[in-house]
Amino acid sequence: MNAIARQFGRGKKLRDKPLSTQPSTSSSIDQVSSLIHNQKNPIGLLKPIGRESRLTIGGAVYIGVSLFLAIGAINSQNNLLFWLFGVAIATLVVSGLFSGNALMRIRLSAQSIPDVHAGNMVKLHYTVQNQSKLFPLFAAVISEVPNNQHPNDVHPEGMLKPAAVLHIGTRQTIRVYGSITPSRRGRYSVRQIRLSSRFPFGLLHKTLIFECHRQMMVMPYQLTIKPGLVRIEQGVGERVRKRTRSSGVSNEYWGMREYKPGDPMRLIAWKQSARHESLVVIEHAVPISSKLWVWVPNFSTGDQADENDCFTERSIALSAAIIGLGSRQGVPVGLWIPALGIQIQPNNGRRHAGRCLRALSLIDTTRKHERDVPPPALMSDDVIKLSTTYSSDQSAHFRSIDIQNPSSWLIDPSTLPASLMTEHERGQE
Amino acid sequence: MNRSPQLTPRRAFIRSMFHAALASLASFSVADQNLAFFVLTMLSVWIVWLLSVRDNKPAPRIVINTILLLVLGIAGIEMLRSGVGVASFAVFAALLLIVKMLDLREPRDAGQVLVLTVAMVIAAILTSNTLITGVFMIVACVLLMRAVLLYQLYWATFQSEESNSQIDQSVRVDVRSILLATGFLCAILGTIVFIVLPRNLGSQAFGQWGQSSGSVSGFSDTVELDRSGFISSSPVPVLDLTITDRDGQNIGSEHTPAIYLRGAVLYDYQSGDWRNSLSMQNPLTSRTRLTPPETTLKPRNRRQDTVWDRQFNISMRSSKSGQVYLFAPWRTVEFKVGSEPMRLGLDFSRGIFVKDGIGGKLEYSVRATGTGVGSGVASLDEGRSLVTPTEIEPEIGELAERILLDSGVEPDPVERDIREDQAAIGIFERHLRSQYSYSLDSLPVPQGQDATSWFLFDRQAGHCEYFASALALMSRSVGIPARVITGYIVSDFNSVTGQYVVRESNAHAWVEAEVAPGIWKTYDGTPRADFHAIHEPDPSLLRSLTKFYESIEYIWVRSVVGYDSVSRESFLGGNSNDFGLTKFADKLMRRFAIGRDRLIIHGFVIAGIAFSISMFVGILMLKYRSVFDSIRDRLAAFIEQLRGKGAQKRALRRGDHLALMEHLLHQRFDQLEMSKPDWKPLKEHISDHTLTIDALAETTKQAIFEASSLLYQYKFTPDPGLPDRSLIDELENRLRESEKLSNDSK
Repeated sequence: MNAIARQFGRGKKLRDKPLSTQPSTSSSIDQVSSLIHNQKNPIGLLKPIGRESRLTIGGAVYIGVSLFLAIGAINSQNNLLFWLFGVAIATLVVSGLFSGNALMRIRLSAQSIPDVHAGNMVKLHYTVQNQSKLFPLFAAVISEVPNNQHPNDVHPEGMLKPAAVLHIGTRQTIRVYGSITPSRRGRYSVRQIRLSSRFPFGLLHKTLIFECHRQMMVMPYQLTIKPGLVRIEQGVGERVRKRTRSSGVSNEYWGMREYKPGDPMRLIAWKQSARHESLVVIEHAVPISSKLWVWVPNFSTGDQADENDCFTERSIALSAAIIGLGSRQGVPVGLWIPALGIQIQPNNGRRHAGRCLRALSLIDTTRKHERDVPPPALMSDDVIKLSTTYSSDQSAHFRSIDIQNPSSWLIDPSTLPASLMTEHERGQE
Repeated sequence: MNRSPQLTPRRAFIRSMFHAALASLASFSVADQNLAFFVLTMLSVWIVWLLSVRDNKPAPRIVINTILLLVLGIAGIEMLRSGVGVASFAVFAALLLIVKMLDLREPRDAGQVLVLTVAMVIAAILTSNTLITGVFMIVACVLLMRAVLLYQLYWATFQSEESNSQIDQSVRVDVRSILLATGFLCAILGTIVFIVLPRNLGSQAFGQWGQSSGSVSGFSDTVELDRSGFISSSPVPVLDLTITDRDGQNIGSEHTPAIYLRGAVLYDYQSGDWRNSLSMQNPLTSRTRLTPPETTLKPRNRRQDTVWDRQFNISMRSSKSGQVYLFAPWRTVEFKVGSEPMRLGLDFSRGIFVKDGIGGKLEYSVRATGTGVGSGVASLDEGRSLVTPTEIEPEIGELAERILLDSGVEPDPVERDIREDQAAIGIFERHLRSQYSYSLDSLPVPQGQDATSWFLFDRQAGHCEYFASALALMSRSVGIPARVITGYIVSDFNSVTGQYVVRESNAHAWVEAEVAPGIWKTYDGTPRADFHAIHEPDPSLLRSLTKFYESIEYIWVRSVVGYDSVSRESFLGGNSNDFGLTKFADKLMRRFAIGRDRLIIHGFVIAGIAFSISMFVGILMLKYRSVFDSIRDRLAAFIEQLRGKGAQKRALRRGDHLALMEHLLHQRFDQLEMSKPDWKPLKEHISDHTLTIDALAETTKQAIFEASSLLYQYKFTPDPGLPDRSLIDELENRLRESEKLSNDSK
């Protein structure tokens, strides 16, 4: 948004006159209450950086019919046909005049988009202002031009519902919204916003282009997995504790050591130091918990590329679900996808979960690595391996989940999104 | 627009579309004067509205497809039965429209209904140009315009997140304002285009389109007694007539006697049919092409010293194309064409006709002397030999002889004095008027019986054709040459417009008889009182209203339907501004008209080939999309490269090294994948990509900064003067070198 802000700052000041205070003349696209009245200069309203105009299919048909009328009029010398042809030409001229003027003084701003999980709908809010004194704007559609330069960019075809501006009166501002329902994880980045209208006669499709760089992270699908998947072996005896690397983590005494420059003064055990004639500090202990590693192996070795992609996506979604559940239960979860170069050490907390989810969101499945080694888990750590086959190699610390069998890890297998199903499964549905 | 608070764009559009569809169907019904079509289509559309459209319940696809198949079948049968014409096309379009209204699922379907509505309006115009059609057309156009405006709202909301948004009062007000403004502008601009467009250009180049010119006039150039004749009681106006004297004063009046306008002259009688035995292809007395301003033709063999005393200005409201009879009063002295050139055939034994009429309005003037029945001085160019021998039923001859004997006139032509011929015909005329009654009721003539005998001896009632036939045959039976004339009898004067209006119901048949060698006179055996009682409307309030309507229609016909090149010239002040374009285009269109059929066939062949190729390419593109995409990308890259080189060359050619340097700078940006948008200032662009530029080699970075500073200095300093050439060259070289370096490193 920096570029936008800069551009806006450099551009001419928007008119300071107060806008109309009349009741809503807007479309009912948004609620009446969302109208911005008396707003002098809504923040971030952009001027268009370009305009486009093209003939619609209807326009081409219209020109064909007009030519037909002209030929008919000339051929039959039928004056009513001459008149109708005249009206047809006039309509074309009026269409060009009106649509051009109606879009002449339109300003737009787009609100930023929060991150969203794949399959969930998010609203895209826009503020549109008509600064014209004469021409209202009718029947405009606001669409976004995504950046599809990276393989992980989400392609919004089929899931983007543009916002429609039914009507903006002269010198009025309204808020409208469209929506996006991403069907796969990734990054949805927008480079331009286009406001198009075919009003009044649908002959010309005129578009205003607004420069707007913004992006949204589309996290993997939210799956409701069985709670038992995230369980860790609790440590016993000495295994449950470790020396803390930093002081003050707990009040439980662990031991003493020599002072090192940088240690806090308050940790110095003065009595013991006097006894040893050198500075010693007290160390405290913290309880350790077992960690959980989610290991996603390489699925690209199979023959069926579509199925492999589906299983990769499914395992990504399942990993995200495990991480989410772990985060909620306070279990440190690590992510291990050596084939795709992702190694995140186990930890817990929302930030860690967010980090893992973002990493999962941005996985580039086109990058294939043959390397597929187990995670660097300690003896005390649990490992969940997501595989395409059922493995009998199960132990207290190692579990293999068959991702081909959603009923083994989903509470309700029917909630598996269609885009995570194989062709065969979709056929069965 | 509906004032309901729950009005969605879809509902508003559907209602306006419904109104537009009704108006278009009604306009065609009115144009075609087809009550059955009107009732059936209105009912169907109404039922479809109730069943499907109102509650947005489209019919199942299977039902739609079945009905469509039926419609196609009906249309095919109709076209085979009555040929491909505007009427069959309109029936097909109307059926499609009704079916399509059952299938309104998406805006696309509604758009198709609008297209069919336009088709119906065009069909109405091609069918008729009457005032009422024009009014319906204007109403349909306005409703259509409103429907199209609302369609855009529907289309926009259909695509969007919130498709059930409401149209509130302010939207209604603005839509209404826009409709008014666009309608007004369209009307003004449309009228300007209508006035300015040249006329008489390329007429009939593509053959006859529609029936707007109309061939229904009540008139026929044949008489078939055993069938329902051309006699009609329809009040539809056929032509307008004004009569002026030599000073140009209108001398028309409601009290003037009936005027006979001659059309076809029929000589041959056979089994109840009167026909013109002399083919139109035979040499005529006069055949010529008249082009304005040389507009006057004096009939050959007319006495040159004949002085005309009245001028009949005739405007045929709708004439058919091809060979068209022109109606003229008895004893034409001079003939003048109106604005259009005409190829005329002029022969008093056969009438006056245009050889290659183009349909539509036809204007001409006839100067004549004297009018009325029995008062005509005969033409001198014909003898009794023109009357072909006719087999007359003996009983008709006997009747004629008996009537003459009863009146004391010798029936035998050999013994009778030729001066008594006139009296003999007068006796027959009076006998028919007094002994027979006029009726439009058409009864079938008994098998094997002569129609005229049946009229004279059995039915003793009939329409004017029977009276004319009987009079002509009775005259012939006693040796007096006689012929049947078909045309119009004029008596309906409109005092508002100062014109006589001739209607279909004024079509009439009468007789001309040769009372002396070369002397032909007009006789009418039809009972006057009965004829007028049936054909002339009663002077009621309705009649007054009809006359008022006709006055308006007269203005419509004169100013809109009859707008032609002369009106255009008088309006725009001459044709001096077309630089001979009209003449050239006229010549071109005539040439085109000669080879039209071949051209149309070639056009179809080319269109077929183009269609096949495009289909083939389309299928290939679908199948090998990636290949085509790759070709397209390469082509785009190639064009982009060419454009780059072109810009470079152009800059070099101009000697504009600064432009060249700017081009190199942009090229460098492109290579670094930081292309500069046109709208963005250069410095801002550089500052936005500082990180990228910082990562470059020092020399490249310096070159970019220095080049941009130089460009800024030159562009934005008030009076900069040209920078040092050597400096520009050096920067160019550095930019080129940096480009090479980066290419090598890649």
